[in-house]
Amino acid sequence: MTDPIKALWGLLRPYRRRYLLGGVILLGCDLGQLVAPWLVGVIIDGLRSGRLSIHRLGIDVLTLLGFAVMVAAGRYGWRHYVFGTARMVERDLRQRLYSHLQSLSASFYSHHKIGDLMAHATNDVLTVRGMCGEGVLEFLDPLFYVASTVGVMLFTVGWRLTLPSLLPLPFLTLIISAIGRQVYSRYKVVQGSFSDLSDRTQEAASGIRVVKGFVQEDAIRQQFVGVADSYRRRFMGMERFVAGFDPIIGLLAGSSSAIALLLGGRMVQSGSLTLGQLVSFFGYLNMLVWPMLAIGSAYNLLQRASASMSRLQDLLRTPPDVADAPGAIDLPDPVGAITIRNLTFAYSPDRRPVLSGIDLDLAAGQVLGVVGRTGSGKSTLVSLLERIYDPPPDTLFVDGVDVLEIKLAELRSAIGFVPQDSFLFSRSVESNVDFAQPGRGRDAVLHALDLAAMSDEAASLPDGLQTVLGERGVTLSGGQRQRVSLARALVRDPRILVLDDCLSAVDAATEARILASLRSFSGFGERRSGGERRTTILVAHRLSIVRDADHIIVLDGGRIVERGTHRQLLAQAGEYARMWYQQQAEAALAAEA
Amino acid sequence: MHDLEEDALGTFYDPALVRRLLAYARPQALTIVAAVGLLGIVTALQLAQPYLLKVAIDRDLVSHHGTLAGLAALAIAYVAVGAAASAILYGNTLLIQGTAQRIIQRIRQQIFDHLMSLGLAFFDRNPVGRLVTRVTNDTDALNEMYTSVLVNLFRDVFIISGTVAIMLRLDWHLALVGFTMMPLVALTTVTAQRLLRSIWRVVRVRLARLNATLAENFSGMRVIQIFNRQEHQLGEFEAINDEYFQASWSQLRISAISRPLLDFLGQVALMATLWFGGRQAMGHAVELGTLYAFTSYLRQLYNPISELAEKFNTMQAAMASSERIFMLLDTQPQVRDPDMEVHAAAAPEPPVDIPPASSPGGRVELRDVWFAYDTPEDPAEPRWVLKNVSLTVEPGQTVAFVGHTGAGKSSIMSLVARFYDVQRGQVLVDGKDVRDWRQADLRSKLGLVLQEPFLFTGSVAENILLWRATEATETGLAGQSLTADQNAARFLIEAGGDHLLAGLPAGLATEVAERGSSLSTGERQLVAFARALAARPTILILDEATASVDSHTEEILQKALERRSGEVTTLIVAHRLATVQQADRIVVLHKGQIREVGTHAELLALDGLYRKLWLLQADTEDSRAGKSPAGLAQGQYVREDGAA
Ligand SMILES: Nc1ncnc2c1ncn2[C@@H]1O[C@H](COP(=O)(O)OP(=O)(O)OP(=O)(O)O)[C@@H](O)[C@H]1O
Ligand SMILES: Nc1ncnc2c1ncn2[C@@H]1O[C@H](COP(=O)(O)OP(=O)(O)OP(=O)(O)O)[C@@H](O)[C@H]1O
Ligand SMILES: [Mg+2]
Ligand SMILES: [Mg+2]
Repeated sequence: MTDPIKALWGLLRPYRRRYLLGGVILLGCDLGQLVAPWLVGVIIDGLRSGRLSIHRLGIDVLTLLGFAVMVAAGRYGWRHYVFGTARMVERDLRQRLYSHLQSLSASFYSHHKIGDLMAHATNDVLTVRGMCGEGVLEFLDPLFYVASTVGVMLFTVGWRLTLPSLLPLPFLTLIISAIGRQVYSRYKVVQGSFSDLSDRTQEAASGIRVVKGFVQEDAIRQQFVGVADSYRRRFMGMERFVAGFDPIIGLLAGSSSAIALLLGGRMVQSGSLTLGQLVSFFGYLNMLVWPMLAIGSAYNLLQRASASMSRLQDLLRTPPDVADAPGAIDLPDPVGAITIRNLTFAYSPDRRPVLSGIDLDLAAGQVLGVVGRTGSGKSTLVSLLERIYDPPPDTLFVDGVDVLEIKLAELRSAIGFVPQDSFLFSRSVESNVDFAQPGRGRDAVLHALDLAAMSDEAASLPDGLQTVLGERGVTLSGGQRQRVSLARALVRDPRILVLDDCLSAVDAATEARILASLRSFSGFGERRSGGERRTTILVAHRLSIVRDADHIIVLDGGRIVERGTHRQLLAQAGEYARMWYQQQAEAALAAEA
Repeated sequence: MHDLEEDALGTFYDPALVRRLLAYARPQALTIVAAVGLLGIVTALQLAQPYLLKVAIDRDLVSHHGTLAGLAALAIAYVAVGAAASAILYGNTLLIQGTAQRIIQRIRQQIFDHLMSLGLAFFDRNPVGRLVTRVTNDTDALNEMYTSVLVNLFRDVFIISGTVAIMLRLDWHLALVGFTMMPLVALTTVTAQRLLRSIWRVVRVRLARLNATLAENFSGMRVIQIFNRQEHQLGEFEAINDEYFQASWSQLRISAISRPLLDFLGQVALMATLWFGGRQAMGHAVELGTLYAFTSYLRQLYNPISELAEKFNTMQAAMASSERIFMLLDTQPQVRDPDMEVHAAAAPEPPVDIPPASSPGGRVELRDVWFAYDTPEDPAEPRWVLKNVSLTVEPGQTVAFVGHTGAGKSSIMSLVARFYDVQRGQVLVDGKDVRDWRQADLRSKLGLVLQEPFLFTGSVAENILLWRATEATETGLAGQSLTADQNAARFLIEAGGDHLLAGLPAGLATEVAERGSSLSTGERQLVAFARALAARPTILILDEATASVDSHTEEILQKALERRSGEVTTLIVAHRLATVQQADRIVVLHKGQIREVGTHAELLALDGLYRKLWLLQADTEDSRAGKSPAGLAQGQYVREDGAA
């Protein structure tokens, strides 16, 4: 058994009772269906002999009715159990796929396109369902016929005619499985192409502003035409083989009849077989045709489903690379001390490190400012703390514990993180803020929005806090998105607060207001006595945001090139000082004006 | 936000739908007729095979001078006929599939084309996953209709009407008895159809919702994980997945009842025939042979009928999908190119507005612009985002827009690019209302850097030059692809990306992940900036183009702009005021209205909103000590509400 087929079996297994039941009902129906022709024969015979009373006729007809009712009920029953179960399998598989994808980290998503993943979760899963429903039926149903018909053939005319007539069968099996192999590999390609379709559309729709803004509709359309065309070609490339199933089965069934004609004819001529026997033998051979077609089609479905399954397995087998280590510990009462020891990190082994030799100590409640050039590794540094990617072992510690040894959920709920791109969901503003743990209540949400200087604007949206946003939050302005995203982190009341350049799209006045609330939230700036302090990491390009920090690091090319407090850094007269004076010069210019 | 999907159910009239679906098949009409014909031939050949057996029986088996050679010849003929039938069947299947796939490809392309022509307002309110469903799954659902229904329908109808005719001729009394179930059959079919249609609709809608949820969750996965939301999100997904399951379960239930019910009705008809026919046969009013023939004809009659029911199911599935498709295709683009004839008629325009031919153009003017994002259908007073904005930017000028977040700066940029249409007033580019421009002509003047940089999956070079480079290499020499790369490199370096370029593992050929997520945010902005420069615009629109860029790189960017100043009209939105102080004019927006306009110096002298913002940002020791004139130290918020 090949791998995908084993996996398919694994999907069916939990439902084998239902399938068994469906199969039994199906068998019952098949038997029940035989009653009608037989009874009709009995009635006709009775009429011919003139011995049939009206009473008897009535009973026979009612019997017929009884069977018809049973068969009808049975037909509903097996559909329920076979087709219905297939839908359950579909639901389970999709659920499992989604649940697995949810456990995979950012690096997985940078290698897999969303459109492709969507195609897996709908189209491939549907193919699998096709096999679990129609495929199972088309396999089970003929089995009964084939077995009983071949039995009758052997019984009535004996093996001397039956076996040679069935000689084409082994060839058929060979040919069919050869076609099946082609269908398997080609269907995989077709599904890949379907993924492309899905992905092209996905990307064109999400980048529509760029497409339109740069008048690239034609180019995008051209790409789509290419993908749609190649889908069609590949589909036809597969169809060239799929279309072969029926004709070849028909042809080989025909050869069976020809063999029977030749051999059986000779036997009739020599008198070892009666003509009547031969004629009914032809009848039996004919009865074998449709079951063979059905089995061929079931095989086709099976091959497609295995192709889809193997695509799904590629996803399902990807191990979650950021996951709880065995024996990971809780972080029951985090204080928020962060230690970094000689941290070097590269996104992939073959690329140069993005961070090298980072050393850092941040006591609980301290504020760290991170500045540096574009691409110097600031976001990477904070995302390692969040374990969006895993840092190397023994490099990053929270409260003295290696982050790799802390349960992911514990670590992440200790941190309030505001990512650089403020992704919002197309749900209400309130549930966006309340995202981490719904049900914290409106007051908490309002308070968080207030800290983020967003409460007034949120209230003035069409439906206030209940306003449903567009996908990614497109119906808000850039600065509004950033502030909702900030509120989302603040509402968690975290021990550690990480802000990755999250004030880049707000104006100076709003920024000042937010900084003021952050100062009281995190307890920095004006050395307030006794107030609560939270460990805070501020990533920024504007130095005014970080100047109050207890500690500032300047990154360049993934290394810390300067560190110290604002004053110390100015005294060092290095990169930080240069950036600072550049901004001061602008201020001076203003003063002159 | 109201959901386009849920309102408009069942607005299509079936025959109209069918007609539209058939219209797509019209170009292939001949092929379809040929396919039906070929299918007839196959059937004839298959029927010829039993005939050959009959010949064999009569000639070689019953009579006593049958020869083995004769048998062999017939056996060979039998196989030959079978082979011919198989060959034709094979060809025919390919023909039909090929036709259907062509039709579907055509529909797919049409949907995609149409999508690309729709305005941004449409994309604001339709989740991407839903649109993807329309293009992929919904079109896919049409395949079976075009392959099996279209061709086999004829055959089934033919068989049914033939059988009916024969039965009527044999014995019309008995035939009528056999047909007694027909009204019930019709009733069942019609009811099942109606139910199936509505349930298929639900299935399609829920599939789209499933896809939309998937798309959204996949793109926000990082946020889901950071906020430990997995379980919750899984639960939500389960609910949506289950809704879809429920819908498809109901669909199954309906067809699982209707199909056996139809078979059952056939059986009842058989019984009625036997009962009446049998009684009459007892009185010799009906011949036994006729009665026997009737029983098999009845089977022949009701079999295709219940198969037809199956086809109706396919048909209903296809109709439900095509409804969604046509609904999308019938969505009129709200931002439309001018009607060409009207345009031609209005050709002699007031000459005053048209710039001299020699000028490179680039004049932008807003005249009393009122703008809201609400759709025209929304009944209430629009929520104005821009109110009575008037402004002129002369060719080559640099104008900066500043103001609080949400003031409407990005909206103005969108209007110049005509992503949306204004409700009142006019936006003019080079003296012509943007609504009179062909969108492509208008936008090819622009170089846009959007507030949120979007990169396509593909190489960095591709993202800078977009797909213009391919055109060049296709027409030019082999060496030109290198030039394209050099070209891209030039723009990237001009945009301050030399550092970035040096760090890219495969240089410009480095592939970026979806939305550019394998680059840092600032790097993405640099690429977007390079892309705007590469468009060789006459109007450059920079919406916070440098928000995530360090000040060193920003200086480089600034130089690139200075080099172009005078030639290229530049509209800049920036919160970092250092970025805008060189501008010819600075426009201060407040709550959708223009509050102040002037040069940096003028505005500082004005002592208004701009000055307050500036002082805050200059972040001098003074301002921190609370000595700034506006008293804004420690982030006291500037409240401007009542002031206007
Ligand atoms: N697509 C949209 N649909 C509905 N409302 C929108 C849409 N885009 C923006 N808005 C609303 O319009 C107003 C102005 O938004 P705009 O993006 O123009 O602001 P902005 O000045 O660019 O702000 P920022 O500095 O934060 O980017 C905001 O209140 C915002 O909520
Ligand atoms: N997912 C990724 N895969 C591969 N490389 C990446 C990935 N994310 C970032 N990089 C690279 O790592 C480097 C550091 O990126 P990072 O996002 O940490 O920069 P940054 O300091 O935050 O910059 P910015 O100021 O622009 O936000 C960049 O050169 C970037 O191209
Ligand atoms: Mg960053
Ligand atoms: Mg904006």
